[in-house]
Amino acid sequence: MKKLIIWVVMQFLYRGMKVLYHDDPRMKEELDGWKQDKFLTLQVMHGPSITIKYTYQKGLQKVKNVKPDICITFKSIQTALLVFTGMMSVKSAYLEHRFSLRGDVFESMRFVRCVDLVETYLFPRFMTKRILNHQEKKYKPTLLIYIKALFA
Amino acid sequence: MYFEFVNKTKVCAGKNALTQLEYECQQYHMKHPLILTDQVLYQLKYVDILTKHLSLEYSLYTDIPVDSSIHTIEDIKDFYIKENCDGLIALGGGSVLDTAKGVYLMLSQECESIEDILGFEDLKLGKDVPFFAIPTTSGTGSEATCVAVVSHPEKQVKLEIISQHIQSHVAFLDPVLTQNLPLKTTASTGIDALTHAIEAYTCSQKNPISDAYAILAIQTISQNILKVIDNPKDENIRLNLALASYEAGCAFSNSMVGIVHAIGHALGAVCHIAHGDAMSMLLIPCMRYNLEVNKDLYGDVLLYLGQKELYSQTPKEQLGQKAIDYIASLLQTLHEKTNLPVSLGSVENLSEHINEVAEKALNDGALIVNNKYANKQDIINILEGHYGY
Ligand SMILES: [Zn+2]
Repeated sequence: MKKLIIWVVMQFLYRGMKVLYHDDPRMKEELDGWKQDKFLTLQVMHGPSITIKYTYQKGLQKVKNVKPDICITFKSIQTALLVFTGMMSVKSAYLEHRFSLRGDVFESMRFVRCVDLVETYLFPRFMTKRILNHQEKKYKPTLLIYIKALFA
Repeated sequence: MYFEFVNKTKVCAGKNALTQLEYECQQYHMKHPLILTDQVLYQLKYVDILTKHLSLEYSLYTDIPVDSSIHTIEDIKDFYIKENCDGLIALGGGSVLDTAKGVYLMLSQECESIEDILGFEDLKLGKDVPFFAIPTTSGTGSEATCVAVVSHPEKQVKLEIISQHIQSHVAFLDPVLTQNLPLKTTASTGIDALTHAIEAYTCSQKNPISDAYAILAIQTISQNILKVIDNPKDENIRLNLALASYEAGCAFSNSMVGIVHAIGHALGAVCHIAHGDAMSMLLIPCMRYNLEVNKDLYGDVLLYLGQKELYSQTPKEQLGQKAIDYIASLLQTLHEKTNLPVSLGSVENLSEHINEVAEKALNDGALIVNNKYANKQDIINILEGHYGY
């Protein structure tokens, strides 16, 4: 069950990011800052994983069986669940050494900020108030992003 | 609360620490070590201070540049294999020690390119390669930290490896190695160590054990940094500063640093400001920026700086501000006595590069753990002198 929840939220976050790339200039600016294509993997030890391809100035798509440039691995299913259900921020997970990262640490900071941004839209405000230490402005209504993330 | 703390390095500290070198080599089955250092230290005959205590055969690599790169590391790794070495002894400042960590990891992880092992907390225990660190400055604390930073000249970026498997097996802190450091370098590396300790004590990854190391370091630096300027050859003072640097390294390796380092790294990369100098210029403006959230913690710092009387006479809500004022006056004294640059105003062409520096600082991992959130504009404000120059 935990694995299933994590898998579902992973897909949802990915779709949210994909939508925001076109609907929120900050997401586009962050990702385009890499200035080149990137493969990103988000995975949980003994749990689900997702690999996303970012194509420079085009956007995001899901891919399989590639060696990622940046790979974030949550060290346990329990803490991954806390993060993916908005009970723990990415920042707290980092502070508590709950995940490891392979790849360029500086470049991965963009990805962390993107996750923060997508959480601003997709997680309810009472949650983001707790897990984000600042509130980002929303460029589009949350409902619209929700609908696009679910059905687009 | 949940935290992690790692420190596996054996420390040989004090007068004649280097006389233990041969024994430690034997302990780690080192029969033909590779000694790593830079040209300056080689010319100043620092290698002789070390080899005086070695009867073993050894190989020597003396060409580590100030801003070491992945190419230097890969070069040394090939040299190590060619010379059939069985251990590493790094003698130098931050650049030499970080380079040595890179070489050590490449050898122990048996990888072809350093880019294969970038990241944090991702590496598994590798092949055993004995690795000794002998710092010749009292600042970076690199002999104690789990991090190595190296530059990639073609991509013009810094690459970072953070791993519990990166620490040296033995660190030698011998005052003979820092007695002849120029006063300005002494001041600037000392302030770097003080910054490590203050940021470690006040960032969001702090924990009870890193606090203990940070407090000890703040106390030791404040008691010795002015004394050393008047008595640069004093072995006890030099040893205390070496210990403080090591302690501050242990602290921030387990708690991270903060905004001073985030901007300092960027200032180093873009404007080529020496790391310790950048710390000396940024510490006060960044503490002022952080004051509203770090008030109480900075208040504690005033006590650790040895200002008991001032502490007891100051109302609680002003303690943090007083700590900042005290450090500002300490920096001013060091500036007058050693010419330590303490003003961002002294960075040539800063205004032209402000955007680039802010952009780089924003991508520095140290910013995540700063207690107060900072965006690009906040960083620009600090650099533009909104919090003092
Ligand atoms: Zn530093």
